[in-house]
Amino acid sequence: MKNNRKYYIFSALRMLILALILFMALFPLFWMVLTSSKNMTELLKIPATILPENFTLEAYRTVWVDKPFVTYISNSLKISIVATFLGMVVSCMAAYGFAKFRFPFKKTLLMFVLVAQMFPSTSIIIPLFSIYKSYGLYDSHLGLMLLYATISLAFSIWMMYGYFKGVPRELEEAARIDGGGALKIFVNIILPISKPGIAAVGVYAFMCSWNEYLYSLILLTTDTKYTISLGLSRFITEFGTYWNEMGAASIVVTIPTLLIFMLLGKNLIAGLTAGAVKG
Amino acid sequence: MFVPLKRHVRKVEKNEINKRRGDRVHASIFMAFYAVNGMDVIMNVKEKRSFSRISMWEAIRGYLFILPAMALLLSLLFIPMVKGFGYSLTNFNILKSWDMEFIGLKNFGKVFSNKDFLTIIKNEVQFALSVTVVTVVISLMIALLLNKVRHCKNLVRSLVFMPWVLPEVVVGAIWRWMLNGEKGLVNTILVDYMHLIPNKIQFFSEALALISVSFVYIWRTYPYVTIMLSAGLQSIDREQYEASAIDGCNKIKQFWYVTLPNLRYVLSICSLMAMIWTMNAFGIINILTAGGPGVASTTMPMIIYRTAFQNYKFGLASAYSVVQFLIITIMAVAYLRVTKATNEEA
Repeated sequence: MKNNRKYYIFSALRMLILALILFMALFPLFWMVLTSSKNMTELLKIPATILPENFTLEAYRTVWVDKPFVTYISNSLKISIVATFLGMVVSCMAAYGFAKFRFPFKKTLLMFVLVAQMFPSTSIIIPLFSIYKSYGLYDSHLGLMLLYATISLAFSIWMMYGYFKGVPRELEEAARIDGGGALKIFVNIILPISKPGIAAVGVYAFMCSWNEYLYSLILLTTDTKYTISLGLSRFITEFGTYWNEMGAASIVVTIPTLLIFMLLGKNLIAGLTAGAVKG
Repeated sequence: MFVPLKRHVRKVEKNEINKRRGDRVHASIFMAFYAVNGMDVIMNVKEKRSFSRISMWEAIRGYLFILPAMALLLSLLFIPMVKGFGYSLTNFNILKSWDMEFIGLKNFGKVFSNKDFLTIIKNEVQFALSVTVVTVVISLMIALLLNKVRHCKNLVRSLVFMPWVLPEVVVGAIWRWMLNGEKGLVNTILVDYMHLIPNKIQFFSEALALISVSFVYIWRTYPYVTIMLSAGLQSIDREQYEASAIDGCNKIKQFWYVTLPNLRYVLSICSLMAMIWTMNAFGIINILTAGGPGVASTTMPMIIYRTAFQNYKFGLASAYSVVQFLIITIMAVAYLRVTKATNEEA
């Protein structure tokens, strides 16, 4: 009896702490939503109000119509989608090469993939800036697409490498007997089997490109070419006191990430933790 | 590929760490990244060095498959990195790019004689260590709690994970607003509503800037570490708990003798990754304080950015980034030494 009560107290306490943690994780974003639905006169009040007195979506209208956020979003979408697609194709091919073929220096090359990923981005950006300038990739979306495809490459290659290794050899051998070449086996057998892995890698790559900030800050100058992160950061420094509009802009920027995360987040989490669970 | 963690760890310790002791740095960098995923490269793949015709064709096809990825990595990450080392020995200035001279180690002299250099190094180390330690401790507690959740497990996990997927700039915007010195929510609640303290806290003042920035980075990093640790916890054999319970271990002893040893591997990788991320962190700091006031929250990435893209001194900035690269390597190696030392004791 006594034990039972202790158990209930403990589990209630646990629930309470968990609720607190979730509150800490989610409330800041929700606070942005609340802020974005207030008007400027309300925001100037001291003490600040918690709930909006007159709920308004004016800030969203301003962000959407008067400020060039639509351009930024379409830029970011374009860049992220191309970069994700390119990165996926390249990394799946590489992972397949690593997983199913024997060739000299395989270990070294796989290691190289890892080490390349560890280079601090601030060290890369300086030479990259002058390289991009001399090859005409500076201030162009193409340059960013290539770069964004590269930054998530190591993760994608290692992830997919694990997946492809798991595909039983018999499947491929059967296809080989039926007369399929390496590329055909890859496209028809390996890729369809590895869909969950591909989804996880895709989400990761897309988020990397969508959220990326430093490279776009340095490699883009023309206002109309800005990505969403860059646009938002400029907005913060220029109109940083219009908190409602900043809130609205942040929410608009976050929505695509959140949508994808809700749809495919389970895959992403499963993929990220695959190593820890399965060893 | 998918060996159970326990066996895997043992294997890793025996084969990997002991055998390749001379090759420590190499092996440790390798282990740190996705090592959980990819350790079988070393273990299972035996390179065949004798070539028949068939295996030569196989090799060529293999190379063709990995060629595009290698080309991208080489041209966009590796060559720039090497070039950066080269720049650090010149007086390259992007505004006067035609007159670039080799000036030897002068840039490094300038770096070390900068009167703020010590502060920046102190900031960098303090920032990286505090974020990593606090993140790991918090994450471990949350992961333990999370594993007791029975209902809506996936939903709770996703919600906990969420701060990690927010764009850096948005995280910066959110906390810039939450911690605002006049009308930020934290100040509003503490001062205006609850009257707990008389004056509003200036979170981005000289004294508190670095701490506030660290806090925001912890807020962003802990979800990742939590999820990894929680997955690690789930993979622990239940039998070990039962056996230890029979041997008379209470919950605390179980945590100490069963949970922690089993988590050691995931823990060391996660914390190393968190540390490297933090040392390279740029976006959120730039949004929150831009390194200010003064150099109060300036870390190495901030000073590199400022030197290169606000003062256009590419040579000097490259020297800073070489120093940063060395610091990261030293800290990573030191970290792995420390954790390895504890491994050998056990």
